[in-house]
Amino acid sequence: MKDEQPIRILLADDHVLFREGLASIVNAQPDMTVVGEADDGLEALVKAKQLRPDLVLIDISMPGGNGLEATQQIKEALPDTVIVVLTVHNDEERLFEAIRSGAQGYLLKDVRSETLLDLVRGAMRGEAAITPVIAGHMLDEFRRLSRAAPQQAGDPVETLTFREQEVLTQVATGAADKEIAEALGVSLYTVKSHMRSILSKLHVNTRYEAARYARRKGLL
Amino acid sequence: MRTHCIVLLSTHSLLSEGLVRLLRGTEGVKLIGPLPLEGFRSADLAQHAPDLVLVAGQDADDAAAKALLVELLQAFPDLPIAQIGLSAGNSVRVYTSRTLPANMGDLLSMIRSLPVRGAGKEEASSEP
Repeated sequence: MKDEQPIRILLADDHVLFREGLASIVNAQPDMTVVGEADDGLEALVKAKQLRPDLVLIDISMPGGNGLEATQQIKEALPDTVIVVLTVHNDEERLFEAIRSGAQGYLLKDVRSETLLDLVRGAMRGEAAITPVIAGHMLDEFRRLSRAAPQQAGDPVETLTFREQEVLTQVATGAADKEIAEALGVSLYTVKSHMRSILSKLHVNTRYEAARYARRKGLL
Repeated sequence: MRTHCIVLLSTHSLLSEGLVRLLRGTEGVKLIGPLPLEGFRSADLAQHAPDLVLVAGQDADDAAAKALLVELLQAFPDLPIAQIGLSAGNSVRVYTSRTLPANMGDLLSMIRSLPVRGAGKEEASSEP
């Protein structure tokens, strides 16, 4: 009987027109219903606890409450609730942070509605809601980690070049890539290239993890 | 009720599909589109004679959208254009222009009808 019930969905996105349009698309499906809408991560958490939806479609960048933090908090409070991130951010840092936070999927907002709806249905069956482009990012990461694994014998920080250590020190202070580029007198592209190398050598996925690592190692 | 004809130009499938669902069937609205923004020219608009052009995309600063916006404003000076961008926060930007007779009286009337902003206020308050 439970399978015949529509999927109860909570939408969290600060762009009201986009959210209302999305709600209209979802509500037009016979097997789905929007039970609530939220403007930010905090409201998403409150409404998720209140409404206990089957699935939360959540944006990342929202004023008054980041979607990734909300994802983690919702999963802690409601482990059975499926969370799918729907964002404009096509970057690996946020993707892996979302997955670590407990998201079942990571979709870009330029996805077509048919694809989105199919992936939402799949997520409810336990499948990963990701498009081939995002799957490609994940395979790249898997390959990177596989290559890095045999080198884990020594302290990874020793494998960093002098320049990479300089960049990492800046990252640990909370500096953005642009600020680092200005401080070191190099291009933004160069900083991004160093960042990729640092993440790879330290076996971490995000700059935040790299910053934590640097602080732990006393690189500040 | 008067019916407003709206042409929706879009570069974003999900956003425009949502807008279509919200607008189509709304009383007083006749919606044309979504039409792809890419390749659209001001000449294509004449056949629809819309009351408003709605431009929807991910990035409000998209170069193609900006170029088309300027082209449309030049070709149809009295036609309002509303732009919705996912990256532009929770707002709709409405561009309008109007044409005046080229005489000093109308120019001054237009100037005086405008709201006074920061610099103008300071100038006014510093007068003896």
